[in-house]
Amino acid sequence: MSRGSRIRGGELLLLTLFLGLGYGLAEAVIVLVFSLIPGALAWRTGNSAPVLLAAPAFYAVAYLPIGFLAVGLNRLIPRVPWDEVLVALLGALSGYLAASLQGGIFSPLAALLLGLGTGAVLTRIYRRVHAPLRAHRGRVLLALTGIPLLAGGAALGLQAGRERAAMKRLPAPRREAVNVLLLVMDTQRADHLSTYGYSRPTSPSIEALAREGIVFRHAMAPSSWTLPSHAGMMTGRRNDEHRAGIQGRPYLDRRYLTLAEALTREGYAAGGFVSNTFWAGRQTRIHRGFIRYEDFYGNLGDAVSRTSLGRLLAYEVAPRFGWRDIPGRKRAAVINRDFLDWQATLGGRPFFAFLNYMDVHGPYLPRPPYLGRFRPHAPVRGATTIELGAVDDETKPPPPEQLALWVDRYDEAILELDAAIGALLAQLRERQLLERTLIILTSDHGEAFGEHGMIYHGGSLYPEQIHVPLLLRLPGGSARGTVIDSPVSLIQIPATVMAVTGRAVKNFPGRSLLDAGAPGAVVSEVWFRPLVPATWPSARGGLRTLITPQWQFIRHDDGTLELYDRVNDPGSTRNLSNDPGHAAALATLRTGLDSIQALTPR
Amino acid sequence: MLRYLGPDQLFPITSILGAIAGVVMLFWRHLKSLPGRLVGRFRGRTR
Repeated sequence: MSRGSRIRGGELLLLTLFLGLGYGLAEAVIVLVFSLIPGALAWRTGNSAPVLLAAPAFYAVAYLPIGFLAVGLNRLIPRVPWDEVLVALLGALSGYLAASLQGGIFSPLAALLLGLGTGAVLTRIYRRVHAPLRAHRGRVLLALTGIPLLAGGAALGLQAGRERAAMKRLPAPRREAVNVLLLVMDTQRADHLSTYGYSRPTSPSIEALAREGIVFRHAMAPSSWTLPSHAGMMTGRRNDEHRAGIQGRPYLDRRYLTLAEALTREGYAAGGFVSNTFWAGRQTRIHRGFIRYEDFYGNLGDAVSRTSLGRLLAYEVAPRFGWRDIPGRKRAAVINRDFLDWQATLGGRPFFAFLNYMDVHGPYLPRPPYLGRFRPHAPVRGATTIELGAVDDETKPPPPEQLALWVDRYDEAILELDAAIGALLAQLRERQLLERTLIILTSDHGEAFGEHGMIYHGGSLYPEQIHVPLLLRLPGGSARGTVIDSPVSLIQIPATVMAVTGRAVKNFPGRSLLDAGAPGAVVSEVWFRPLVPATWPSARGGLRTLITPQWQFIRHDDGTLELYDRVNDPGSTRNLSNDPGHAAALATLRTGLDSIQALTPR
Repeated sequence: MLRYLGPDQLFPITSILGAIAGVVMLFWRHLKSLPGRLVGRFRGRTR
């Protein structure tokens, strides 16, 4: 910060701090402006008020090594104006990071040119302002630290105040109101739970829960990926109705009432505790109606990966060094703890809690003592996991040996999550809440392990991707040991909750899962997904399926039809749509699907 | 299939505009004086 005289090392470090804090604050403001626009923040870029504190703090620290490097070089080659070099370099980096904040807007080359341009502009500005900057450095530092602290503190205070006010506004609940606990095991396919007949003992705790409740053997998710499936569970609507996750709409709009909104009107405290921040974070608007919603900033790793540079390091750099976990993945124990801490503050008010666990989602990374439980942990050549978001046009099932290892790790992750669910239930029992709580345990979608030539999820509507567990434990444990064989859909959850809590079902369409005459045919959909591997059916257009006790009928947007006999072919492997002997069934199912979709308001 | 218009469709346009903006910022001084120099050269020729 000096012209004509040798610059001191301390001044270079202070300049670095200014640049880090300044850019961090700028990034936070950009992100928060984006967050006001529905759908503007994408699956990895969701964010909330704590970014005002986290981003400046992170960049102040992250830029420091470059500042120290400049200090060292300043000692070695004092004639170079290292302050200007620092401004140019960190200005260029900041410009590049700002241009890369929202993936899909600028190509890497455009972001690089924008970054270099920003560096050049900032250097020209710095040359003009370096004297007053030096003279007022104390004030500048105070402003750059004070603004994030004040703004971040105010935003957090506002959030807490809003929550307190919302709790105060709640009407008095009915005396007999029961709690509602919705547990979603993200990416849990039904047939890998021992409760559903799997050969490995993956779910002893869930088996115990099943003995005390109702098991739906043929529950179908309304879609094969997280956002539309959760939106269906929250609104009781099909994907073609709520339209969350449909082309260019990565969020749930305000058209339909959510379960959290309905229950808060009944005096319930509603809390969401979410690990899948990508597709159930608040940027997806799934949080509508919840008074407390804990998604982002659950830990330091998550806070870092909510910055542009942190994301770059976590998703692009770290995997090259063998680190492949989801950045800041909140494990089940943390989700449970957050929920239980919150419940303890409610003073006996009934709650609706939604817990989303991401422990079994890829990359499949069970931890000791569960790692190696089903097969000794041995290194295998090639990737041992499918990385989150790593699917591209090259994505295809790995060789059988590697695929088998993925399944082992997936199963061990289930065992680990099962233990956490068991611990949660034990806590509820200890707090004497279990008998006053409706527990719903399910998943948002399944996972393919080579079936139909696919891995992962969101690509099709075959059973491995939509057949999910569904267990209900009613308050008092009534109807224990019941097994329901007819197909049901997760979009029946809101109607069921309203029925069990004694409220009118009219708020939500569909019938309660407890109705004896529940529908025998359910619909699941996945809409056109332009960015998934080209080999996946959903990359070529949308798909809809109608599932009855006997049949699975699939219709693609391009007119392709598929028909499977679920009784004799539960994996949907032999397409009977061209068999003349099944023409009548095909016509009936086609009409059935048409009539259901014709009811959709446009 | 619905007619799809998503951010990925706009990607080439935003990238080109971003790249142009970057170059302009980078060479602003030269570009700023370019019209004047061109006009001067044109006038010189016509005299």
